[in-house]
Amino acid sequence: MWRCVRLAVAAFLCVPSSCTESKDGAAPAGRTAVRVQLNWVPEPEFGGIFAAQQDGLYSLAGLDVDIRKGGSQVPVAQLVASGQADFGVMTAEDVLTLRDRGGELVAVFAIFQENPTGFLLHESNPITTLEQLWTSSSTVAVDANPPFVRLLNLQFGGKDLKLVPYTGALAGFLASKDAVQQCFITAEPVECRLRGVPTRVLSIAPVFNPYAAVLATRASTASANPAMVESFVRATSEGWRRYFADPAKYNPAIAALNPSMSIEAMNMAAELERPLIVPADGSAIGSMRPARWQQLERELVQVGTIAAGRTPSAGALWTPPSGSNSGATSTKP
Amino acid sequence: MSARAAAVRAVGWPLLGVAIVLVAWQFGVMLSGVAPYLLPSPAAIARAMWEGRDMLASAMARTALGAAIGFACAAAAGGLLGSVIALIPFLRRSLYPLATVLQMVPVVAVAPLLQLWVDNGLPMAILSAAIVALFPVLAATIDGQASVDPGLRELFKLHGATRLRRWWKLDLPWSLPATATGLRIAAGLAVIGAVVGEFVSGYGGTRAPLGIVIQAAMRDARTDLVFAAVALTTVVGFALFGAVSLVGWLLVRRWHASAVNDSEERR
Repeated sequence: MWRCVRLAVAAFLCVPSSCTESKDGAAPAGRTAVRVQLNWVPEPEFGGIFAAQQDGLYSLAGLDVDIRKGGSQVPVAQLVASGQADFGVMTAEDVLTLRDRGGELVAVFAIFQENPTGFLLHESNPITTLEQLWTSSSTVAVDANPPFVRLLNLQFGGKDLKLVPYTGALAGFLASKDAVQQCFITAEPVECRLRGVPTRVLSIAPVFNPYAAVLATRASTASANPAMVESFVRATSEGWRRYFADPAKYNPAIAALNPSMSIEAMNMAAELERPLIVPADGSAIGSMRPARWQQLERELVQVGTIAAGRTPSAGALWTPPSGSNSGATSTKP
Repeated sequence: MSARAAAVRAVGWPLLGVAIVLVAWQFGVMLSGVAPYLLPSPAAIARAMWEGRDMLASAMARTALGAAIGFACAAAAGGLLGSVIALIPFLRRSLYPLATVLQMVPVVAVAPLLQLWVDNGLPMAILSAAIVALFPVLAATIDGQASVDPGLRELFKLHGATRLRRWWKLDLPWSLPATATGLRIAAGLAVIGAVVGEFVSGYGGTRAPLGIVIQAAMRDARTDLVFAAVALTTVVGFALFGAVSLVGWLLVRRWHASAVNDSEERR
């Protein structure tokens, strides 16, 4: 009965919608049903996942993957931790925060090596640095009190800033020359360029550079079914390799699921995200370094998201059972 | 039954209901072992409320201000417009159907649009609250004034009363109980409208209203704080509802059947 209660609560929190024909729990014989919850609408930032799906890499690995689209209000970390999804795309801070609150999540694959989050300004805006922005009286559309806002507040004050919710829509930005909003370097700036609106992007990576999008699963899933997790990670990694080899081959299928972004914009986004996703040091796509998780943990303590003395980063990284470099983790410090 | 016993009964039964739900909830959470980030216990919610009391109090004040001003605007506009529409048959036929469209508009969907037209923060919360609160007041006012006893209307005509005088002396008092009902419905809706407005354009940081507190707590996986903030939005709704009910009762208590019957029953 309590399982029913838990399911009802999770269903109440979010009714995820499926990107593909949903086959809830009914995988073809011999294949394992896997639900992947995205944290945003289908875009090139999930290119490798869609490429693996399109080329049948998941099927070859014995997985029947159902990709579910997300949105700004979808609590992906909670859905994964409660078993409503098997894998979810979330930020590294989501993983550590929920682990700190008792959620048993482990990160298995980092999509972005470099943080693609930034602030989008009109080119005519005289502000050119994060410090200038954070000491101005601009109105900035941003997520509700994320760690990077608190870090910027600690560094620069930000007392005169007016922070308003970031909804992902561009209308407000286009309507005002003074508007500033949070963005993914690979999304909104591209959309603006295609509309002929000159913009400037201030990356937040110099101040806050954790893994901005990781695939995570439940620790219990990973320990009970390590072969499944490894197969999923390998297929996803190969999906990314194929996606970057020819993004134009895969973007039409993604665009079909997200009519608000054109194929042209997706092709441009793929090129922009390549240097942020493919590790510069030659390690495999998806690799993660424990040191960066520990740094994020220190930052989360600094901004008060987690209490001092707590160490949710310990065990937050999944290690493949084969020990081979499947693209999941790296032992580099 | 004495007035005091009646008051105790009126407050006691609902309180008992709340207590039963809270106790069942607390034990349910404790026995099931459901994760606190999915469903916190009432005790955890109370703790979150206490620990964040300063921040929550200022957030609640901001949300209450937005909802109250939005409600007041809707009440004034709805009462005035409703009266004009009820007075002029042509307007009633042409504008009333249009007004019902207001009720059909999902404020969640139009909120991002409204953001383009009014300032962020309080103005947006006020507008959003006013939009959802307007229709119940408007509809109740129009229906209330349209349902005046025809015999009494004839009596006013017979005595040569002007249209405006009849409105002031007959239509308006006659419609008061109906309008009061509309206002009570609008009071609860205004809070929902204000929070929706805050979701798209409430200020963050130290100026955060409850809508933003809910979003930020959700992001931080602080489900206990989400519940605490949601509970406070209902407190704002109850307060507004209570204030409106009181004013409505004061206006009709001496003469209208609904109020008189109620006090007869108590006696």
